[in-house]
Amino acid sequence: MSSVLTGNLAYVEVIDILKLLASGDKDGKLLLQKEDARENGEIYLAGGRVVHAVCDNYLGETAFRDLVLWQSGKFAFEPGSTTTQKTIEKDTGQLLSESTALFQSWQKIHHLIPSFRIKFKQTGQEPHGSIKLKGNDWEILNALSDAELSVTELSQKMNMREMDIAAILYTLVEAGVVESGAETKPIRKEVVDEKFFKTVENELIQLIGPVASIIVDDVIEGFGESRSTFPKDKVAALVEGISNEIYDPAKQVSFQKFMFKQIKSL
Amino acid sequence: MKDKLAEINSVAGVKSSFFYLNDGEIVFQSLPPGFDQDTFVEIAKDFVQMAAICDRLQSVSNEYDLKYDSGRIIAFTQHNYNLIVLCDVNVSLAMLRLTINVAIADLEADKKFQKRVAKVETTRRSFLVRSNMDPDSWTLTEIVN
Repeated sequence: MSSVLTGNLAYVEVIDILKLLASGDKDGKLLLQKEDARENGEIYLAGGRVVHAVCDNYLGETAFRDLVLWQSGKFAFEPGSTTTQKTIEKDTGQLLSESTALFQSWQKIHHLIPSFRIKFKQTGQEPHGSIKLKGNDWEILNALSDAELSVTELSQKMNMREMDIAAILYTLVEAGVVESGAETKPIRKEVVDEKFFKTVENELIQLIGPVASIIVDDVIEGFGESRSTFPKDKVAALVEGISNEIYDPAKQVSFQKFMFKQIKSL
Repeated sequence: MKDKLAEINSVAGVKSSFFYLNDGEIVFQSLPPGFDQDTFVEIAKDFVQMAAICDRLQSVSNEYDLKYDSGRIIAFTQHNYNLIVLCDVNVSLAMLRLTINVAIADLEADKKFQKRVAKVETTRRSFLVRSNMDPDSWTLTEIVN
């Protein structure tokens, strides 16, 4: 099924796309894909009502809440796609209004915790006023008693989602019991030589013609990267993204076979 | 074809893989020592049954991904043969798909293999016969119907 509405989440918010689709009483599936293509999400609409959402291992409202906070990656709307699953019963107006509030809170959290790599530690100070802590809040506070940990590290240690950890840390930082420290240095990833993209482009031109370079650039941009910064570990996902733009199955396989050899020699 | 399985197994995070026909016969395998082949024949049949149910739901997907704490089982189903890959949770799915697409394209062009596959009379549909199913799966199929 072909997509009629596609784009980059860096320029448009998921919630705004959904409001547009809901107001037009649309039927179909909104597909979302993070830059590294390792995380995907789907939101189904029937007559403008949100009826089902899936993201990673989560379904329904939990998945929906996760997806509306995505601010990078690609989206595509496939009109007419239907599902037999109904995991969301809530009124769509209410769901969108709650999600807008959630998104605004997330913006505040994002302002205080702009990166999941920033480490946090206990301040050793008394809290400003009284705070109510739940089980997970205590566990996070405890984990930070003798170690400086980032959101990502806490997420792995406690087997919780990074977004949930960030929300708890926000409360703890606001209360003055936790503070941020240094940012863990990102691992420098190996990037692809720009000549590689010329090879991809030349092969693609043989198969689909002169639009090849536009497609290559669009797919690269969808990953939030450029030709000069494209990491090697995303090349297979890039090839998959470009392959999806080739509609002739025989040409698609031919491209994949060629690229398979190229990746092996990278 | 063993070289194709070797390619699939060389994708970072892949532990093992095998091709099998709809009747459960394993045609190419690279199970490491200690893996019980009979167990995997059963798993293989379950996947075909799952694919048969998805056919009923008019699903066009041919990829089934079961995630566990310690690993993943990913099945790629074709019309009358299938591939199961056992891998780590964080396997590069894009690289795996690319490798498998290339391997399957070669299999489709392999006349000897296609001749063998053509002899298999077991279709996915025959997995949805009550006598071939456990009670829970049969109940599920009735719901789907």
